[in-house]
Amino acid sequence: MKFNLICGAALAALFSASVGAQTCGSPDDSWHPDASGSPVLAGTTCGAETALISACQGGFGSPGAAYVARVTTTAEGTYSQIAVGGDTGSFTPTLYVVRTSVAGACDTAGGDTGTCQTSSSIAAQAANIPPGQYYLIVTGADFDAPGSCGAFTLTANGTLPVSLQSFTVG
Amino acid sequence: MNTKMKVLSLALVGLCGFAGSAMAACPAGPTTADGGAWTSATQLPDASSTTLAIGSPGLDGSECRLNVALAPNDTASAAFVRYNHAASEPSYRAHFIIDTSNLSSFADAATSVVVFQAPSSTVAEGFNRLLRVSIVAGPGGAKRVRFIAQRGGAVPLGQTFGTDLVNGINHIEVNLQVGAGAAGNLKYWVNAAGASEPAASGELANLNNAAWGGVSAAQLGLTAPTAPYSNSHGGEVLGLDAFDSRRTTWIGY
Repeated sequence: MKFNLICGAALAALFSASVGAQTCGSPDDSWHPDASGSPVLAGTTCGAETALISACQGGFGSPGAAYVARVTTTAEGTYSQIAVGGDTGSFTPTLYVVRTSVAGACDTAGGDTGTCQTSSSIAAQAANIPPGQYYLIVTGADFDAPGSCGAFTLTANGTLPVSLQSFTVG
Repeated sequence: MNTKMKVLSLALVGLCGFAGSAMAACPAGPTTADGGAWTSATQLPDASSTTLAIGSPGLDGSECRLNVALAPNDTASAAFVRYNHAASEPSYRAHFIIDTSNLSSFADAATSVVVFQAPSSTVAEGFNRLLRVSIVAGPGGAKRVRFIAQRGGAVPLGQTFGTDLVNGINHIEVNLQVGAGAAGNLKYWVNAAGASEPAASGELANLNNAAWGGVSAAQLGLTAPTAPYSNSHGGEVLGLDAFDSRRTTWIGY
């Protein structure tokens, strides 16, 4: 029996733990910010997905590895933006939001992502992210040096919220 | 052989040699219906919220240029002109000028807007174009230019020229060859002056783009802005001028 459970509650501490390999094949499904935006998604792109050479159908280059998370937003979400943090000057974490349903979304075989829903190195606006399932792909900016990678944070200022797709009872 | 397809210069030569004179002959608009050279003009969502108008002076010492700007906070906004070629062109060169002096800092690394497209005669891999040229963010809010070419059997291939654009007039030239395997190729030049063809600023090789047939049109202006561009640069005017396209020979400036 399958339920669609709207989960607006935080499950853990202030910072989320890294879950999975953060790749296209095994994205991080763990980010569940609550009404206060907790937890922050803190991770590193280093050692994550290496097959993406660009984002937004070639619109931006991906100089190094990319961290891939997956979230489902719904109309009940209270967040208005997802802020991107971690700019060091030599590594500029940039967020590309891609619907999981579009052709080429997180396509490691082709080495690119599909059409971006939105993108930002500062803050992606909820108004540009209609309810649905998305990859949140974080990688260096187009102008960062080849091989650039580093730590980043994604901070929502409210619930997305997420929807568990496969919750089995009994 | 220098086969000149069309000079779609937005800057007309001043009448009687009086550049800047009140007698200057700028067309009322960029399309043939208004005395210009372009087949059509597109403004989305509408003409009142976007800019697509002839301005003066030109950007190459002539009388006229084209000013374009997008509506703020609307990623579907567009303001561009299009020229439909009589035939599909498998060998295509184009040159144009962009004036970025009225664009504020590209502070968000995901800032991008398309300024030129080469639509194709055939749809392949889900795309009806062969080439896009975009203004994208460089370090420290600078602007750079990115070239995105279609590839047969693969996702589009992009390359950003690694030198920042100047805050003002910039010259861009492309040489797109449509063909199977390595015959499909793009060379580009950014601010590379010369009466004869200089070394390319960059190249995208092995495009294998024969399936698209050739370039069927030229589209110049603003379209496909990312959210950071749309949110922070709506209403900012980009100047365009001196568009020229040919089959074989260097255009230059």
